[in-house]
Amino acid sequence: MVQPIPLNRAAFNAWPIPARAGIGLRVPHHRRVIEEGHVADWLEVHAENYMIAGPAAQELDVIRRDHALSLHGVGLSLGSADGINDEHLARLSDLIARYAPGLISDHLSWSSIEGVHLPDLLPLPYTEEALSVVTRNLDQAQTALGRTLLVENPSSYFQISLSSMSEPEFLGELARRSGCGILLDINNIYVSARNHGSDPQARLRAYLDAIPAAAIEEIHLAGHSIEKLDCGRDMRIDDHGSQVSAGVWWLYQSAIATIGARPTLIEWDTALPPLDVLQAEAAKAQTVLDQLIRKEELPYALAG
Amino acid sequence: MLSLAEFQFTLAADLLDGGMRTAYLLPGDPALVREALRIHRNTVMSGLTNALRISYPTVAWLTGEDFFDQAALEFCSKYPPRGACLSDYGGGFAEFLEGYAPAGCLPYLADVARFDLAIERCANAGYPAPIFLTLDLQTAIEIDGSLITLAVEYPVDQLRDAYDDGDPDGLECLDMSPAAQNFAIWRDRDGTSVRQLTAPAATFLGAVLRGEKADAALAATLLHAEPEEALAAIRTEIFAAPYVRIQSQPHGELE
Repeated sequence: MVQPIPLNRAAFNAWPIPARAGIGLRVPHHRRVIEEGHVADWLEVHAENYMIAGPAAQELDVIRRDHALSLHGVGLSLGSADGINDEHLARLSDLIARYAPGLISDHLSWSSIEGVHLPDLLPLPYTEEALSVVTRNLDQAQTALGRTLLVENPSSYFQISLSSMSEPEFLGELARRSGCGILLDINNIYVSARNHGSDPQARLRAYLDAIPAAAIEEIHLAGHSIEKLDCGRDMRIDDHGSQVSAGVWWLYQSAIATIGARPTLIEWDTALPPLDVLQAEAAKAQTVLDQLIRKEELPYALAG
Repeated sequence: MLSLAEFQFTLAADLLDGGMRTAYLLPGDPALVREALRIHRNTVMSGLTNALRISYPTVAWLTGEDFFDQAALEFCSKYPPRGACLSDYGGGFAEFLEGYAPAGCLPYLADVARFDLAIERCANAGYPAPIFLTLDLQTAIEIDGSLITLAVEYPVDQLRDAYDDGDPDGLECLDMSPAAQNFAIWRDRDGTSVRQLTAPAATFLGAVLRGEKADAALAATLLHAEPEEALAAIRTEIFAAPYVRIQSQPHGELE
């Protein structure tokens, strides 16, 4: 009979995430990563995919031996007015105890209300009430987990008239009140700017002005798609299903020129390509980081 | 002014039923607002439908994409998840299919769903402690904690085999007449294994998994089977099963 190792038992030593390019690891790539032994400077996984004691968790045990690991969640629902689900928090705590991740993150969003959970990162109105709710939920989570969490800025398809402050202001104040870190998703900044008719560079500047640089502990880069709507307008969809666009590379370059090198993750979740495509994207990010460190001219020109 | 909770409750309702109650709070071109809500609704529904497709692969294969998506959409709108781990979602889909009118001509579909879910849950179960059953002063058996038993009316194992083999032609020779069938499902080194059980073995094993002691489990079995048949079934199908280990010293009574 199978003799499993319980999920909540510590199995690995701490391994910090370096300020280098990493890859988002998805279950279809497990076998290849196990065969190759070491495929990137660090890996990030979706925490919820490993909260059940199945084959994926056992494979991650093997992978973790050779890689620094970051846990990126989608289920904490930090913006929920109801608060955080204690069972979910306990499962995340077990995962952290086991894998000793270098970074742990989730989103500035909500998914649960009145016991119903919707698998989407839903937008918050940026109000004082919402700020209090997210701060309270973060305090609870960080205390229970004994770790600082990074909060990722969302992509948005609409704005909410209830908001009394901007998203960058909300995140900056959240970091100050809760002590959380910020995971700056450059693709989300670009997608939201284009969807709302604003300049991506100006939007990035607003984030970097509002959020203390020291609070930004990780960067995400991803691809997006462009959907032609029936009304003739375009909507950019944050689907993580393609290469990073030139406009996002340009914003990334601007961001790290301002705040310095940060752990940078290539996210690719849908229409998953072969692993070497992800590695090639990570190599592009590493080129930008290396040239910043060497104070060379950064490679990406504005492409809109 | 609308509270955060009120806003979230109303938007959640819009995404589940396709409503537009929150549209007045979303400034800008109404056409874009409609599209934005549609994008979020699609994300929610496709996430839930994909979760069901993973848990019920044979059902999805037998019914085809359009039928499955439509059934899943109706189920997900009525019974959204209560937690963030979608691998936990979808219990009750078999019962939903039993009452789902378009599935009326597929009487076996609910049982196929039960079988699919049992395999999925077994594969992804936590690490439950084994169950010990004391037989006498010297002997006990240890039953793998992942073990599930399932009673159905159709040859669901053969349907699942056809799906696993990608062999729709194999469905043509199946006898789909309803007849009581029982299965033991457990996790081993190769994944999930399935073995058919006779009625006496299923009765005994079911009683043990419910926490009955050996005497009570045997008594339950003897209500429906002759002693010789019952003991032979227990000896050959349970004591000799790969999910059972015989202990020469008892570990104590079952709880």
